[in-house]
Amino acid sequence: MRIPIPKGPLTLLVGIVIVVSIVFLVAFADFLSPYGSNEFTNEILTPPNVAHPMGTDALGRDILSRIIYGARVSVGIGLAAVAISGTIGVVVGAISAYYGGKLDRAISIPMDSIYSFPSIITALLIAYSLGGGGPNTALAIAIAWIPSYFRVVRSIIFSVKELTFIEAEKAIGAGTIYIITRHILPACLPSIASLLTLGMRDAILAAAGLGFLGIGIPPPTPELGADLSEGRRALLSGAWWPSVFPGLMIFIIVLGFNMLGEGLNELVKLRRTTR
Amino acid sequence: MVLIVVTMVFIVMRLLPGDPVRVMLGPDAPDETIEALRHNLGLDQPILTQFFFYLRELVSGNWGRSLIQGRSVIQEITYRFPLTLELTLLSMGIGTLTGVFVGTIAATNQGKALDHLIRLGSFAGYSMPIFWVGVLFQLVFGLSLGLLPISGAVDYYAEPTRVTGLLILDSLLTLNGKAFLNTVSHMIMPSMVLGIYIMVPVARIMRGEMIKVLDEDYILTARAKGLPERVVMYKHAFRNAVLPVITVAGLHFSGLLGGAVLTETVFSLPGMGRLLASSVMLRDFPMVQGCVLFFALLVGAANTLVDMTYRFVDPRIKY
Repeated sequence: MRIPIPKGPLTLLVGIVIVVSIVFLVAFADFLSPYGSNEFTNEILTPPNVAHPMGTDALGRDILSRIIYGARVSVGIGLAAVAISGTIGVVVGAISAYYGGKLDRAISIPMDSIYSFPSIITALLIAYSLGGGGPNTALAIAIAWIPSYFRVVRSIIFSVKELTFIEAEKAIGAGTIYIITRHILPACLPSIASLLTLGMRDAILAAAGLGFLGIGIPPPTPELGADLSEGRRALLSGAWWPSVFPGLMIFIIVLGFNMLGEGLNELVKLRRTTR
Repeated sequence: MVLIVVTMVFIVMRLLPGDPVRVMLGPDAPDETIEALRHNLGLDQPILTQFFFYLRELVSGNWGRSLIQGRSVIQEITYRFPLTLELTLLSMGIGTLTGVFVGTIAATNQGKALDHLIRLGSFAGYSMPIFWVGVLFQLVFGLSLGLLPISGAVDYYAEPTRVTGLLILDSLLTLNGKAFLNTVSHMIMPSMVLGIYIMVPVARIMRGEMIKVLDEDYILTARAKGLPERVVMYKHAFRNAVLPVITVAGLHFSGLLGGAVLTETVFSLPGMGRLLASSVMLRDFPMVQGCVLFFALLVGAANTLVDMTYRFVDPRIKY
């Protein structure tokens, strides 16, 4: 028996629901969080109970509050990283693809080389060289992911560039900037939307990973990856909650953006085939 | 490509704002110490001279000395690298095999509940941070159920004689059954965790390809010939669908290396990934540089290998 669940709309819907909830959570963190993110209590490493639904960590801080604030940090870094690398990647990709030829080759070769290198390690290297801290981490992730955006935008623009109406535009003497801004970019917009959303997924995962490895926002600011790393120390004494819950939060956030991005992808495909 | 990454590493590590020497020694270090270390590392020379020395040292095999206990960088790396290689190969293998299997099942059950479940699972799998999955595995299989050891590559009492450095292989080569069981039990979880990262895209591609291939005319012909379904599946459908899987697996190899860094940290495996992670934490400049460069070489080698494999598997490709 086949269950005809339309894949696209459902994925998109779930994605939207999750992302909207997270935005809500992040925006109203101060009101939703039961405790401060750095409020020390005397209850060290208590398992989940009524007062602390997710337990407390080794310093007596409420984990639920920490992950709510931590979500804000992660989403913040993700947004910053995607904003920077998205802008640069799209612009450079567009220029490179539009002009083609030697310029394109000159830019593509280094981009491809960096692309084939593990992005996390690139980000790690850059973050290390810049020194730690939130903005540096975001910058590091941004730089490491520029080639991804570059590649996708470049291929999109290559395909759009060959369309006949562009040739017609050129024939009537339209300027280059006009063509790029008024025709080519809008044609890519839907794909770019899903690209950026999926980029958020990668950026947040990367930020958490770097936090886990000890690069990034220094304590005591809550950061999901760093908290998970801290929480690992308590594992052997049987405390699972300091490591499981931060990771769960990362998972939910990333899942939301993942589904949103993939849902958008499906939407783009559907629109293309039904036109 | 390697050359570009090598240059990039140089640029990043020496030209970016932020003083690596100061970072290494901490904010309280006296100026003479800082200058001495800077001179020691050759960082006080003009940039082009530095670049020249950098390239020369790389090629000649002198990768410097670690700031921690003065160990030779290249020695440390070559000692630890085989374990990372082992982890990577195991994960690649497990991930690809499971991915192909899962993808095929999804394709043959297209549209049914199992297919949707599998697709949901792949979304979930790709969204899970590796280090979290690792911790979950440790909790469930290691601590709660007590089935598998949660850290290290082998227990000291069961260590095989080191032949290649790939511990499981070494235990096989030296016919050491106890070591074999021990190393395998240590490596199961990390490989599975890292394998998920490969399994998801492989399953997705496999599913797509199988669906496409099963629609082809030659499948219809094979069935019309009266061939048993199993033969149709394996001899025709599967073989043709598998090709893009190799490309995908190869593409994700570099991501696998990145994941290895995290996985090795979670499971305390003494491989190169964890070496990089701890060097970064300890601000060990030469070691960080060495590790990243070695990764670059690895990725370059892997890409070449994938190209060659692809040419080998699909004889239609001629160069």
